[in-house]
Amino acid sequence: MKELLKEPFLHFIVIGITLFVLYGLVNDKTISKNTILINDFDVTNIIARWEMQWKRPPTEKELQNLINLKVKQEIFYQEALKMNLDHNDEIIKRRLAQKMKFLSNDIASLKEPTDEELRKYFKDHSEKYLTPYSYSLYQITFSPDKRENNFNDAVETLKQYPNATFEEMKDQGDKLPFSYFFEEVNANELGLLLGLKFPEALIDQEIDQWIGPIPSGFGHHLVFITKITEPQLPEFDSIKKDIGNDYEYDHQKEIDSLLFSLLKKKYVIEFDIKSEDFDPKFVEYLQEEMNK
Amino acid sequence: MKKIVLLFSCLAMISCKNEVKTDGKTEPNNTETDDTTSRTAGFSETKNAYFGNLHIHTSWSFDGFTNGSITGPDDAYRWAQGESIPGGGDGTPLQIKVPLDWYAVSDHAEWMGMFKLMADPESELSKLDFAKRVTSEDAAVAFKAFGDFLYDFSTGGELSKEPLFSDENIMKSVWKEIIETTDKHYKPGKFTTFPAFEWSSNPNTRNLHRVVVFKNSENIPEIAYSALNSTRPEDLWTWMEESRANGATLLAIPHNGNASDGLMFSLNDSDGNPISKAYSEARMRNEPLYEISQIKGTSEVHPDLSPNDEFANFELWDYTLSATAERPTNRKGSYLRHALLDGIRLDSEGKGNPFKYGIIGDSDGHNSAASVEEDNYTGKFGMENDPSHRVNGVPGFPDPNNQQLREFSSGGLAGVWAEENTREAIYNAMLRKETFGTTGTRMKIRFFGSFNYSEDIISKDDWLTTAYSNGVPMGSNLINSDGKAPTFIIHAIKEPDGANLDRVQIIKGWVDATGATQEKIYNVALSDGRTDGSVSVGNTVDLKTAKYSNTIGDTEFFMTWADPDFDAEQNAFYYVRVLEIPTPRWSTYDAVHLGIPVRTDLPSTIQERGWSSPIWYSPI
Repeated sequence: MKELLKEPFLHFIVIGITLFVLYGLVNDKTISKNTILINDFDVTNIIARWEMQWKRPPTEKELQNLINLKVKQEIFYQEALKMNLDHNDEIIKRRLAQKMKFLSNDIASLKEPTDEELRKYFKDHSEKYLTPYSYSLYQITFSPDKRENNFNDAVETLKQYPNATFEEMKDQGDKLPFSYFFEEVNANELGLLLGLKFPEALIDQEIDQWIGPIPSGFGHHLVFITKITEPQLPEFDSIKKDIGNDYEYDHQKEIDSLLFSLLKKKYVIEFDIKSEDFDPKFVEYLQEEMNK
Repeated sequence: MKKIVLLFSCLAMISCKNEVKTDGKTEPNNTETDDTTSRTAGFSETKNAYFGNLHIHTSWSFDGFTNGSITGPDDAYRWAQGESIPGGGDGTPLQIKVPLDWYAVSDHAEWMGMFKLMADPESELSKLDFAKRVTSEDAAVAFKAFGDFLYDFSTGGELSKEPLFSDENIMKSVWKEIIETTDKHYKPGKFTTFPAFEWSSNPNTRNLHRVVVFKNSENIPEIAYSALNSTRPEDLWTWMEESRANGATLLAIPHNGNASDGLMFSLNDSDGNPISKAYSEARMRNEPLYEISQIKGTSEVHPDLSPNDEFANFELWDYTLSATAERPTNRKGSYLRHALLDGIRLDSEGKGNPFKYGIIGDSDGHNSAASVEEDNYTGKFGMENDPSHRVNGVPGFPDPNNQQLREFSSGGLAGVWAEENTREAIYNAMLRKETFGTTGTRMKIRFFGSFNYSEDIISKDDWLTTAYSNGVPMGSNLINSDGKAPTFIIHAIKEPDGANLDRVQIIKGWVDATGATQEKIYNVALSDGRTDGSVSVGNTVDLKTAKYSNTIGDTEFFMTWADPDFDAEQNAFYYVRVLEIPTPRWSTYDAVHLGIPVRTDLPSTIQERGWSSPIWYSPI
């Protein structure tokens, strides 16, 4: 607090406000008063918002408080405008610019995309909708917690039991909380469970035989793949909702840049940069690019 | 209201379970019958751990926006599912390495209603002539109309004077838009979302913030409750109860007691009166969980409160929310462990337990991204999306504020034990506190307690089924021992692509015979065959390359533990803390990336960690 009292800016403000108030007292009669009109619309609105929140109308005192708050905000706002406090305020600029973006987002969603548009989008972005590789497999784990060299142990076990039955192989590894058999598990799920190395190492592997060692975050594994399902493109109808969401998301971005390019046409962007730190050619280039 | 009563009677059942002989199959949460259960792929009776965040801001929050975020909720949900989104700052896009299972954008309620989105296509607006042209089947007509509209609006033409544009009644609030976006990204079985907002009360810059999460979008109040309505938590709870009476299902989660200067877990209510039983009950009806670790620091424990805890001095972020980097002075009331102790003491005095919190970790990221990966940290705010800003400071920022940014942690994670990845299952898990928190690592922690476990339970293949049927999971109660100490089962496994584990600890708090609270930390498992907890696991981090190696530590711990100091007459709680081996702090990764020396005013390596929700014991 002490530090704050030494702050010159604070002194400036305090003196400023004092002068302002004194001036107001002295000149009370000469200042023409502004009017803040609170009409039916405002009051209904205030009450409606309160009711949405509280599921009951405000009491008289509460309403008086709410109106007082509104009046205070309005007066401060008006006075701030008069003092040009909105000028060059980065936050106000950003907020208004953001409101323009909200506006363009709403315009983007005014028109529902047709099936045809969605199908075209689906076609153009098909790689986004491919399902991951999926596997049915058996696995046993060789853990570094329990072995000096889990990789070698996995190699040795594979040598020793190249044609083991599932029953014989089941107890060769270490006990970890992973299933012995996974049915139709996709590569993403395997990555989440065992680490990303594991599904990566399964790509292009032979099926119907014990293979390995396959690395994971928990050591090395011997794996017997019984089925591989290649990535597939789902039916349009089954993911239409997702396609619609993605279409809208991209469409909003397009409209946003369209709005920018349309409005930019009304402006000339000039550069007045004299600093020697900047290559004049670069400034020239900027000037050209920004006015395209 | 019926739903709530049902759930609480269900919780009561959990707490009584240790007295009841069960048939070995009953699962407490399956006693609910009001929920439609269509099982998704991945459903498991014995539950899966799902990782997510519910404390995320975007540019739609005032401070997210003013601090340089350029993205909204839609982007946020895409980020969590693995998409790359614009990052602001230095322009680097944001992308998580391993996607999350669930996510909830919780923008600040304080400014949500202030800015209105323009028009609902269902509204009268769409009947305007121009709207018909914009929505024309003929793409050329539509495009031209749209161009005309933009032009007219920006030049103050006829259209811009259309009164409908300024009629509040046809305006749709940002809040509604957020709810819609949240619903849009919900994919049961794959990715779960929740409508949420943050109530940002900070009287005198003391943080009392709560994230409010809705189970689904049914009957959500039309306007979120903000600190402009009231800064008193009691009023928030009243509003939540009213919302429940109107059909919504919701809970609140407080965070950052460390920035509350003793206010978060104060022993007095907002009027300064000592906590009453009614207060305790209202608090626990509404907020089952506490966010123990997030970007603004970890608030498990402070070294001043627990001088014997050698791991207490961890990512504390010792500030209030004041813009002047002010330091708090009250430790009591600011940290969870102390609150858990106060809670059981108040309970033993007949005042109920107002701090019976389950535990999650979370983010509080303000740039749509939770930034949970230490080696992929992009800061809390948009302006920090530039490693030089994070480490060297944001140009124009006073140095104390830059130091605040440097002391930010990377985001934490909430781990939830749920049957499947749906709103239903994850929300219910949060309600019954079957959750754990981490500092961002995806280690998984299981914790069960019972008086009836057999000694060899963990050697059996079906141990998990038995752990549920003969005992209780984290977040539950054990009561009325005949003198026998409870047996706990602890299972901890490392993040698949992350660091090995150093140790498992059980932290016990109890009320002794004189009515005073006590705490004790037990090292119940140590890696690499160590038997002495005072022996450090070591450190493999190379500060020149920011790399570590898993040549030390264990991948998994699995054991039972019985409390050697158990006293059946004493109220107590037990929770698990699991430590990883040391790994580089985000600021170390950044320094290496920038080719500058690692800062000496920050820890260069940290031991990331996870905490289970407690299991409480009471004599009656």
